[in-house]
Parts: sequence; C-alpha cells; structure tokens
Amino acid sequence: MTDYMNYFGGAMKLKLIIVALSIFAACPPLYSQSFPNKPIELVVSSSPGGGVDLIFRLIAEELAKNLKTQINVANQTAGAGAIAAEKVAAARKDGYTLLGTLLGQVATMSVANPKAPANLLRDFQPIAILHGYAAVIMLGRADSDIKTLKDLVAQAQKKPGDLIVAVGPPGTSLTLEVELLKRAAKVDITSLPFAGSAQGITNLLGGHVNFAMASDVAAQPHIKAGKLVGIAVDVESAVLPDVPTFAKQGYPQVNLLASVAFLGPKGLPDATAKILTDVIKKTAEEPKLKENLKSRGYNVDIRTASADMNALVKEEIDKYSRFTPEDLGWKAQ
Amino acid sequence: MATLDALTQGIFIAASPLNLLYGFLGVLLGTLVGVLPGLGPAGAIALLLPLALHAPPLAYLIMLFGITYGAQYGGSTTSILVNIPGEASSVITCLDGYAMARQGRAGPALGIAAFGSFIGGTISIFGLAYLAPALAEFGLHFGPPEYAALMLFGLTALVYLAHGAMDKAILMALFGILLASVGLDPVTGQPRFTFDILVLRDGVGLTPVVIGLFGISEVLVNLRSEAGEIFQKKITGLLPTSEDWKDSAMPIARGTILGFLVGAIPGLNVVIATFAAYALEKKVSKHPEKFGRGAIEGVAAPETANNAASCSGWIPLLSLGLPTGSVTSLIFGALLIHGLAPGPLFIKNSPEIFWGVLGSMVIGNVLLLILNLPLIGLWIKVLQVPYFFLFPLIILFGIIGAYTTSGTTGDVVIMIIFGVVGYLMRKFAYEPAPMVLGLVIGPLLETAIRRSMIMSKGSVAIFFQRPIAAFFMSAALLMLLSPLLTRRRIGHEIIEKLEET
Amino acid sequence: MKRETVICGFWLLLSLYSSIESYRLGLSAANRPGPGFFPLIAATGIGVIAALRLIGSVRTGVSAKNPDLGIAGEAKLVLYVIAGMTAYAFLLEPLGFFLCTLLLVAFYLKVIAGRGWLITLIFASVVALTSHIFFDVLLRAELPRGVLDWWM
Repeated sequence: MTDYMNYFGGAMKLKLIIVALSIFAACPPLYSQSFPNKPIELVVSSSPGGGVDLIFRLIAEELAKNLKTQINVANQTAGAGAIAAEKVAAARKDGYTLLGTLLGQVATMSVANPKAPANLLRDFQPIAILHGYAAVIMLGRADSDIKTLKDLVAQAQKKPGDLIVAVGPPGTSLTLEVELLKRAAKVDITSLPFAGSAQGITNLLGGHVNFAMASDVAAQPHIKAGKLVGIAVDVESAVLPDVPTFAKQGYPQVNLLASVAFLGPKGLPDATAKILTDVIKKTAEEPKLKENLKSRGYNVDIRTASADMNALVKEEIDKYSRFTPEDLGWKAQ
Repeated sequence: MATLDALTQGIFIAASPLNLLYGFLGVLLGTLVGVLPGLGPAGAIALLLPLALHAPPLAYLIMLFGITYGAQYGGSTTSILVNIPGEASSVITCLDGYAMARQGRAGPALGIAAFGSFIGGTISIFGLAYLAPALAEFGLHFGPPEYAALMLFGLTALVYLAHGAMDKAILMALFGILLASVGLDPVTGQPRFTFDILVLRDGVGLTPVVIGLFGISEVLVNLRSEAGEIFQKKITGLLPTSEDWKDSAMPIARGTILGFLVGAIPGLNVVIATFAAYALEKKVSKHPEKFGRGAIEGVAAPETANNAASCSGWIPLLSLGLPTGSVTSLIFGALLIHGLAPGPLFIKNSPEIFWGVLGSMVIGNVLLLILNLPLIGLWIKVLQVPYFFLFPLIILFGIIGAYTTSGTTGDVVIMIIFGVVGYLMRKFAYEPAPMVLGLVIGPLLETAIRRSMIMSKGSVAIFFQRPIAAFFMSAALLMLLSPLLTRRRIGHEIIEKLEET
Repeated sequence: MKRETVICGFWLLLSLYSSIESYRLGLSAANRPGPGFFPLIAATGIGVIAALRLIGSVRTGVSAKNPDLGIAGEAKLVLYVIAGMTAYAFLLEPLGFFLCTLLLVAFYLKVIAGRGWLITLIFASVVALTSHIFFDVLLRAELPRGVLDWWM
C-alpha cells in the first residue's frame, strides 16, 4: 500500500489532475447548454405504422430538423398505453422524454382509475395538441337501402337489436361513439366488437354485419370503389369531405373526436416547455408538412395556447366521464 | 397468359440495380430478424419507417416485403440449432429439427428447411398472381361463425400432434387455452386473471412463453451434460441426402398447398399453417411414431407451409386493401406514406407496384436460398462450441428476445417462469406442442364463438345454417370421431396405457 | 406419496381456482357467453382429466416406485441458472444491458461451468461488447441503458 502512495507523488499527481479534468470536460451532460442539446425520446403509445404512430413520426422527422437534435421515436404499447404513460410521467422533468399519444387513451385511463400512477390532469402537461386529427366514419354497404343516419335510426326503431354494427375494442372511440348514438337516438343496435377498423370493414364487405365503424383513411378506397357508403363522421374528414357529421345530422352528442397530443411530465421548466411548444407549432404549420399530412388523411388543427390546451384536456376528461369504467375497459378486478 | 407476362415484367422491374439492392438488404435483414427471437419483422419494419420518407416507393416496398418472407427463412435456424424458435411460426420446426441436430443431422435439417421454404414461397407467388382476386373474394365469406368452425377443426388437429398420452395432450391444450384468457377480454374489455399486474393486461405473450418453454427448458435439462452428449460429434454431411429428398418431396408438396390455403384466409396466423402441415404429415405418414424424434418430414412440411402462408397472407391486403395483422398493417401504413391507397382497385391502379413486388418476391426467394445454404456450414461450427460457452449465449439470446417483444421486464419474467414450467414438463412427460396450439387457437376460437353468439342472439344454429361453417363443423366432428373408429389407433392407445402403468 | 398423485393434485387445484375465478367473471350476459365462460370450460376440462388420472394412479397401487428423474442431482445448477436470469430481469433496467450481460455471462461461466477467472472475464467482456454493438448500435433495439446511460 505504501508503494502506491509514493507512486502517486510528484509529477504523477499533476498528470492525474489533468486527466481527470479532461474526462470531466468531455462529458457533455455536465455542461449546461441550452435546450435541446441531446436527443429527445418520444414515446409513442401506439403500434408502429398505425394512424397515431405515423403522424408522430412524420412530425418528428421535421421537428428534429427544426430543433437541431435527434428525436428517437420509441413505440411502447404494453398495458394499453399505461406503461408508456407511466414511464413519461415518472421521467426527469427536463423535456427530453415526451409522450406521443391519443389524448383519449390517457383520458380513459384517468377517468376509469384516477389513482393510477399516470393521471392526465395530475401528472402531465400538454405541449401541443392536434385537435380532431382523424375522423371516425360509420360505414354501410352500398347495396343496402340505408344510406343516411335518419334511415338507420328509423330501421333500428322498427326492429330493435336487429341491426349489427362492427365496432372496435372496448373503450375506444370506435366503440363508444356507437354507445353515444344509441343513447342520443334512444335505439337498440347490436355492437359487435372487433380488433380494429380493418376487421370491421372486412366483415362489412362480407355481409356479416350491417354497418362498421372505421377510420376514414381505411374506408376511403372502398367508398371510392363503390362497395361501401359513408353514413356519418364524427369530425369533418380530410379525405371524405362529402360525408356529413353526426352533429349535422342531429346528433351532436356523438363527439368523441380523437386528438393526439405531445405530453410532457408535469412541472417542466417554462423555458423548455415554451421552446417545445413553439417549435412544434411552427413545424406542424410548415406548408410542405401540412400538405403531406393532409394527403394522408390527417386534419392539422394544432393547438398550443396554454388555456386552449387545458380546456381541451378537461373537455376530453369530461367526454369520457360519461362512461362507466366497464365501458372504458378498465373495470377493477 | 397475361398474368405470366405481367409477372415476367415485374421480375424485370425488380431486377433493376436499385430494386435489387433494396431487395437484398430486405431479405438479409429479414433473415437476421428471423433468426433473432423476439425481434420480428414488425419490429424491423417499424425501425425502417423513417426511411420511408426518403426512399423511392417500389424499392422501399420491395425491401419491406423482403424482410417479411426473409424472416420465415431465418426463423428455422435457431429452432433447429438450439430449440429456440426465432419466429412463432418456427415453433413446430423445433420438434423434429432440434432432434435432428442432436443426431448430428443439423445440416440436412437446415438444408431441407431452406429448400422447402424456397419451393413453398416461389409456388405461392404464382398462386398469388393467378388467384389473388378470387381468393380474396372467397376470404370475405369468412365471418365469425366460419372462423369458429375452422378453429374447432384446427383444434382437432391436436389429435395428431401428440405422440404421448392423449389425455395429457388434451390437458396441455386446455391449459394453453386457459393461459390465453389471461388479459383483457376482447369482447367486454374486462381484465381476466390479471391480478392487477399491469403487464398482464396484454396477456401472456406467445413469444416469451415459447422461448422459455422450448429454449430455456432445453438449457436447464442439459446443464449436467457435456457438450459431446448433446450434439453428436459426428456430423453426417452438410446437405440432405437423396433419401432425405425422397422423404421430403411429398411433405413439401402438401405443405405448399396447405400453407397457401391457410394463409389466404384473412386473419389466420402463419403459425396455424405450420401446425396444420405437421399434423397432416403425421396423419398420412407410414411411421408416425418417428415424428418428434427427427423425422425430416416434420421439418420439411412446416417450413414449406410457413413460407407459402406468409406469401398468400398478402392476398387480403393486396387485393382488397385489408390489413389482417401487425405486419400487414405496417405495410399498409408504408403504402399510405407513399400515397398508394391499397384497396380493391390497387392492382388496377398501380400495376407496376403490384407486379414489381411480386417479381421481387421471386428474386428474393432465390437470393435467400443462395444466402442461407452457405451459412449452414457456419451454423454447424456454432454447434461445436463447447456447451459451457454456448449455454450462457443461449440464455442471453432468450432474454434479449423476450425483452424486445414489448420492452418490459414482464416478458422476461414470463420467459423464466415458462422455462421452469418447460423443465418440469419434460421431467414429468408433458408435451409443449399441444399447449402452444391451445395458446394460439384458444383466443381465436373464443372470440369467434362469442361474436357468433352476439350475431345470432344466442342461437347455436348459426354454426350449421351457414354453408362454410357447417362444412368445417362436420369436418371437425369427423376428425374427433375418426380416431375412435380406427382400430389401429385404439389398439395404440390401449398398449400405451398398459405400458404406462 | 406417488409423484403422479402430487401432479394431479396440482392440476386439480389449478382447475378449482380457475373455475371459481371464471364463475366470478360472469358466465353469461343476455344470451351471449360472458368472459368467464371459456376459461370455465378449459378449467373444468383440466379438472376432469386430472381427476381421472388421479383415480387411475391410485388404483395402480402404492407399491409402484417413483422413477428417478435426476432432478436432485442437477437441482443446484438449475436453480443457479434461474437465479441468474431472474437477477438479470430485475437489474436490467437499473443497471443497463451492458453491465447485466457482463455480470450474467461471468456468473454463468464461473459459478456454473466452473472455469477460471481470466477466461471468464475475457469471454464475458467479449460477449457484452459484441452484443452491445450488435443490438444497441446496429439494430437500435431499445435495450435499457441503466446507470451507464451518460457514458453510452
């Protein structure tokens, strides 16, 4: 041991200090540079390639250029988005970990289980919201007599429970909007759950159901081919502008229009949040990107004003509060 | 004739230098992804999504498609070498493929797998080219009652999968079905058996279970042995012998047809095609007791079927624009990115894309064969590494595979649990294959039946009133009753029971 | 006690628990099978088969000896491997992929295979490094960084 001590005397000490300082200097995170100075992780709680994931990737591509840093999109779909939400809610409040999600998904979780580790109101702050980013459309077969919502309601009143609608998994807007319609029109329609839009359309084409709820983008080719007709949409569709909304046809209650949002953990430093918000807004409104998104069927209605976003978040919570936890698919065991 | 012309045109388009390059990258990446458990084609395609915005459309699509069928080639490699399925569709290959490896016949196994994949994939492309629209229309007739009947028929294939005690096999299948109900109920959204554990809400995934059940348990069982005992030192040749070829010819033929048909039905997993092909081979074989102990038919048929099915699986997407699974959804998304709306008019509106992709598949299958054959020699070398070096790698491999399924620790824990379960199962003579069958078919059967009940408002008659459903129900009943009718099978069972006690 | 009896007992317990739980989940709702319907069928089936096997094994008499499965000899090794994997699973996120891999491979090589320190360290480092390059750099497979986050 004493040999060691001698060895570390004299010039050796100086060299050690210099080496230590250089290592110190080479570690970027120990500097305090302006935000952002390292890659940002965007956790998307939807499966890769899907409607939600795609819009985030398209925006992230341009956003990375404007922020002059890399944005790593990571998909984390486990636990129906709960794992992704928890991860971001618990992340360091430095703006380098963000959540890209369907606002309704986090709202659903928070309504059904307010005490969960990731509560929309308590643990997140909105950075940017794309209001009504895509439309959900109710489809019918072109060869049937029922072409409008009025016809549908009339038929349903004549034969309660007879009409079958293909809906999505429990708790999604594909399913819940039919519930809202049933409540508003006071009719009995049978909801048949499937895993998503594509299955619904497949079964509709095959004649196994009378109607189907689907995303407008998935429905468009079939409407164009003349096999299916659009009966109603929940928000004006960019790809199918001719289809009237539920509201226009007398049912404004059917309004679970989906928004996607960039969320950060609550308590981000104001400067950081402002940078993110401003750059995202600027990016989303670039003509080229906007055109690109619109041609994919996305509505680009970006909201970044603080008051506006908070109101939207609250509205989302209220919309989903109309349902029981069972409806939302989060019944406690 | 027009179809053949179009396909030839497509091959020429796909053979352009740029497309060839992307194609090669695609199949290379696909093989890699197939070899690695947990990382599936869906994951790889997702990684490449950013590229979509920069690459030329056809080349990019060729690459993506290359990944998907390339994965079906690679999946069999680890199944045969270390009993870990690289893809869920390679589970069945573990049964006989690994047994062959232990007998020093890994080379022939890998070779037949490669050739079978090539033949199945290539013929399937022609099937797709000629039959896609017609099959797509036919596929639309499958609603929930038809699926229910079909799944029931599939379950009865179980009868031919077990080579041990029948009652234990049925018990394993039921256990698989029970396990599959962990998670959210697909119809009502209620959590079942989740004990408030968040990761269980998605259910017990197939991949971690299979890695644990087959791969990890294999390591646990071999811990005490020296390397020489596990893999026979004497390697009997790197390529299949002429006898292997003779034995595999019909299984490959049957596997192609069966795989193609099963894959064409929208929503049916490629895994099901492999189970069906294996069961068929076992049923028509003159020596069914060899299955599970290194029968080359047990490798040839499933490997052919999975490539055929993966190819025909594109029919619903390309003919009707309907994605039927995670991989097809990704390709759907990729098509959207380039403004190509897949739909009923896709083939008409974008023929150069459609035929270019098909042409690329022909080229891709050839590339894969050329790629995989020389690698066999390399893989054989891997098996000769001393086991004490090999087993940590296998375990690491399994853990990474399980983790990358969903990015949570939960899947690794599930893998470990099923590693232990698999170990105990081997000791107590319970078979894993029926359990996997139950795990895969169970949920499909359940949702199909429950949806049918919703449609029929509670009447069971719906299964017998619709022609296709009635057909499969009768077929299922026939399957169930036939072993009882066959004297040979009854004799078999009695002898086994006597031997057991 | 006969091994078969114990195993069947396990299946019976599983069947019982699952059946009760399935019943609780709800068997039917307005003409349609509820969430508990299918699990109940599966659980009951398991119970029936287990019961039949139990009766069969009891009938063959107490004299039958349990065949030796060799578990006792390898139990220690098996448990070590499982312990290693479990530790890896739970340390993966805090410590990160590189460290965990290094530790796991070293542990397996040293404790289970009983090799020397030098070869253990060399092999473990090579494996950890190669897999890091392969999975993290080449494939960007999103493996956890853990404590070494700032360095990587």
